[in-house]
Amino acid sequence: MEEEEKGKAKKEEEKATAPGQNRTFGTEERSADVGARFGLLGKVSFRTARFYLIGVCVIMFALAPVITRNSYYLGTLSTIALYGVLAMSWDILSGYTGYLNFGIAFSFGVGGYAAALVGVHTALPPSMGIFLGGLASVLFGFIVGAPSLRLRGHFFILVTLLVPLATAALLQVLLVDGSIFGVNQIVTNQAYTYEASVAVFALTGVVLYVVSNSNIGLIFRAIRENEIAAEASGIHTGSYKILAFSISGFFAGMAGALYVYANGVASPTMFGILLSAPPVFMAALGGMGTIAGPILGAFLLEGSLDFFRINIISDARLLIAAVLLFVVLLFFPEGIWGAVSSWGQRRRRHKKS
Amino acid sequence: MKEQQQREEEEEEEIQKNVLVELKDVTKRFGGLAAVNAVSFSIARGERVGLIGPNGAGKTTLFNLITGFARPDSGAIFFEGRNITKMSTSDVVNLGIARTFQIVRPFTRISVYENVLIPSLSPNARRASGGKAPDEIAMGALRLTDLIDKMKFKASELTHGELKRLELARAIATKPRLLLLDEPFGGLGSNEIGPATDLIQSLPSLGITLLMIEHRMKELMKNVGRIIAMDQGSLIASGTPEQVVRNERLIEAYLGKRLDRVE
Repeated sequence: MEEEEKGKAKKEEEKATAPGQNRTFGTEERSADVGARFGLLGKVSFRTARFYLIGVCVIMFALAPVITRNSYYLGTLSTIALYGVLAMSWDILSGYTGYLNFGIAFSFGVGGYAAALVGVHTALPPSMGIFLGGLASVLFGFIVGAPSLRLRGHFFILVTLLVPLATAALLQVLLVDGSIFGVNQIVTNQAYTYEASVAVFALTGVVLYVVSNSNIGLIFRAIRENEIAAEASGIHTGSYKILAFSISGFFAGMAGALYVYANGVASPTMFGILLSAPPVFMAALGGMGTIAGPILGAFLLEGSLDFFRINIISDARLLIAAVLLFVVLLFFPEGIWGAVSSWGQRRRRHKKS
Repeated sequence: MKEQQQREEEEEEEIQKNVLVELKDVTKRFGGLAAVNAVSFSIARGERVGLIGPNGAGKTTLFNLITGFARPDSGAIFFEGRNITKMSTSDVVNLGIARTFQIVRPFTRISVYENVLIPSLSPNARRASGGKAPDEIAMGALRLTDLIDKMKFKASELTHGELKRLELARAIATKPRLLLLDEPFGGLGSNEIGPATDLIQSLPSLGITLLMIEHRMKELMKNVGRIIAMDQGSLIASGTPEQVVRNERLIEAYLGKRLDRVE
């Protein structure tokens, strides 16, 4: 009895010392605030820095062609947009669910080849080619992903490393006599590519932002934090992992299709580690498990690399990337955006209490 | 004669309807060791049952078998007459069985509110609450476990006692009819025992049947109407708490200590 009373007294003491906290966290207000949370697409708050970051990106991309017609700069921006899409797609699977995918080039390559086939064999417009590239990537991703998502940790990583390499090897064998698919050149227009990459970038950013802030995104994070507890919470984790994998594959496939329309050729190098690695670096640099992070990472890494390409020998690119990543992760393991947002959270809480 | 038979059948049916969960000859081996050996028992709707036994008796393994974390090598498990022996964990949870873990398993880097929102999104939570919004279900579970003040904190910032309550809140938010508690009092300070007892005693009024593993006999005896005892994978005793603590085999299993004196 005495103990019980002590407990109650302590609780009351806590309430008394933190009136502000109680007010902000009060039931009624909080319920009204989150009352809009309904179903799987929960409440999306647009009043956040993340939204502004995406907004700034879109405006910047939109204004660039008005300010400069220099195709080098526009090319750089397209490349940033392309890598931004890849990094965000990588992050919605790996940053959110914690299933590290070191073979995003597989989705990229499949999307690219699908778009190339569409471009060569049909009269469909490139926008359809890009969309179909995404769909093909989801389909092939499902075939590979559904069984491999049953593996955990290192084994999943091993599969993701091997699958794109095996696919590239297979394609090289098939392509010995030129091209069995008849995919060689697709004529493209640089201006169209720029606008298309920006459009795909914006679409990816908005869709993934909404998904990640919805209850689906919450479940993805629950899988990352504790898959067993998620399962014990009645969440069919297998389905959600496949969903994350499919969303990731769709946008990465669209990026691959864009790449093919930009370069006019699909080749086995699209499955290479040199395409799988940068999105991982970018997401880690900017902050895994956020959507703004990968965008920031793409700008910093690809932007700075393209800048240095003018001045320094191109072989230094990866060295610069490695040093940058090392320094940032040494001081901010959550990445740049992760550090900024947790600093913001701490400050908000400090103000309130 | 015929009438009597019919009456017996009806009675049988009545009992069957009242049985919530039933284990029939359930066995689970790890290598050569039978962690759970031909265990059979049933729990009626609304009962509060304690599960005791020394370390390694197979209590947690039994929980894992019921909740689909492990498959029995032989035997069958029924929940409300339905065979759940080979179901996956999330399917079992969505039939209405929830559990807590002895070692708490929070979603560490997300908020307490979101920790409880996740189970509120499960199909069973929606169905069993009559289509309530997930937010309402989560808030209800937080209120019950007295975690409202902490709901904006990350789970990593909670004390052990709060994490224990969060574990319970997560299970309650799936809206179970059967709740398996794995040492709900484990590691609690003396000032936390009272509120925890109140909380557990409030569960039956929510229509929750309880099966609880607990080593603290004093707390267990306050909270349950029946105790099942296990040793080396087998059931060795079953009955009211008073009967079971005087059971010879159980006293032996607990190294000769008299159970009503074990703290």
